[in-house]
Amino acid sequence: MTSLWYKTYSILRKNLAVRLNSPMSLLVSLGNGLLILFAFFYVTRLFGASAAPYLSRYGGDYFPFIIIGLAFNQFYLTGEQAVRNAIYNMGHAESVLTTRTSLLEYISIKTLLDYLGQIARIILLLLAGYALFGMKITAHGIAGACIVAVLTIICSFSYGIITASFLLAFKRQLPVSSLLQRLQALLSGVYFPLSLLPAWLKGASLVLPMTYSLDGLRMTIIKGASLSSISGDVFALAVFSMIFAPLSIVVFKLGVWKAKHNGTLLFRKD
Amino acid sequence: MATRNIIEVIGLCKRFPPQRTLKDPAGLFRLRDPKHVLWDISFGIEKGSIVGLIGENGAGKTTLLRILATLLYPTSGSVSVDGLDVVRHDRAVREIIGYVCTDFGLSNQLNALDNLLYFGALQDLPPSLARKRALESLRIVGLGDEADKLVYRFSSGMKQRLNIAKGIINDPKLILMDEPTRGLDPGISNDLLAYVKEVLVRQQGKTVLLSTHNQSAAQMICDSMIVLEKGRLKGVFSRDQLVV
Repeated sequence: MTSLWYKTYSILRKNLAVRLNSPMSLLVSLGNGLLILFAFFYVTRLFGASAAPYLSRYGGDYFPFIIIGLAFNQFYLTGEQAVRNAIYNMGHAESVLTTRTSLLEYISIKTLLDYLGQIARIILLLLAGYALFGMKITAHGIAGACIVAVLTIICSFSYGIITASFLLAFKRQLPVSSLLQRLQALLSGVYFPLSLLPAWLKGASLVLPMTYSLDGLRMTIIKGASLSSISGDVFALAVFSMIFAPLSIVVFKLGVWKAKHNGTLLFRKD
Repeated sequence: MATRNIIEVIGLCKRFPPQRTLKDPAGLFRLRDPKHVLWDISFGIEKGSIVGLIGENGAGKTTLLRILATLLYPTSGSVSVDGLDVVRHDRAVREIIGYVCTDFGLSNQLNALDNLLYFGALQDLPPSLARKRALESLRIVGLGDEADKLVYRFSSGMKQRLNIAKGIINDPKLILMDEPTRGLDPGISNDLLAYVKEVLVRQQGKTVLLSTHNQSAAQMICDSMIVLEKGRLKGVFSRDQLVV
């Protein structure tokens, strides 16, 4: 256990040394967040009242609805992006792959640290929205929000690992990956409430874990909903986690096995 | 009876499947031959020796080292390190090898000691032991006074020595070196190789397998040389048997 903490600390220390070397990128990231808040604050003012009936489940205000949707959509993409980046950079890390640290352990630690960074960015974004634009959010449902966030990490990390296995084995990103990401954002209610979707598409949204993540997070962060009132979302996410987590490990092991046979383990981005 | 050989390679073959790329749509459906990189290679390496792996570019040196380092699986044949099969016991093999590769994997933003502590952590060394081993490794490669210096201030020769220090931080029995003198001036590379032989092999008792296409440099320091030619074993020669 000591070794795991020490390993995590060492990777974090190295990442920070690299990141702090370019403080401009941190400022750009914060600036981007503020611009998003600014833009959607005025979009909400443009048609706020007309959207209220569709958003009654989440308090009727589009501003926190879209900000939470966009923030956690990015959070969801972290799994795939962080795992992919870890693998892209591995082309220069033969020395890492020949240590006692397994590939899965190395990728998991790196990705977990990316999630922590993402959580910090989301908290800053929500606080800035609250302080500067009067965004209606509450801390009453924080326990439920944390549980949903943890289950969301398990689901998205597992998905990231599955796509990474494809990358390892075939030296190529899943060709439809970006299309799937956009489709998922559309069907899980990042931009608009699911009640607007036609009935035949609503069924598709039910098989996406992000649908439950976004509903649970909006209910807890905007309305301060208790854990019992989001139990449906928590249950669905727990089921997805129990299916995806072991599946991702099996698929990853197959991917590594194939990569070691095909010589594609040391991936270099073309 | 315990074997004296730390590396045993028997009938090793490695071939890669043809790469099908989206850049060449027609190629996706065209049947191509697999690429044979190693053919029926067999040899053994004694403990405590320094052995050169010689061959032109494309001879299969790096592929052979990567198989020994558990980064690649053989297509057929058997490869073992200290009696451990590199496929079935890959983690155990990684515990006893140090790999000095061509990509240094060092962070310019960290100093020499912190770079080694990072790899010490990845080698599962506890913090105090990692520090002790890092300082010892720096001393062994002659960088004991440069521990606090940022790596971006290092010359290429110093980076290569730090790369070697990284490869020995786990106190390995076997050190695999892939072109350790690449990009170095002849004078520096000769000094470095002499250092490897004197300190790591003679004083520390480690076994070193180093790949190079510089036959004369290898001949100067190696006890024996494995010569590869287009993926086939040309022979294992003592230093006197090879004519430069």
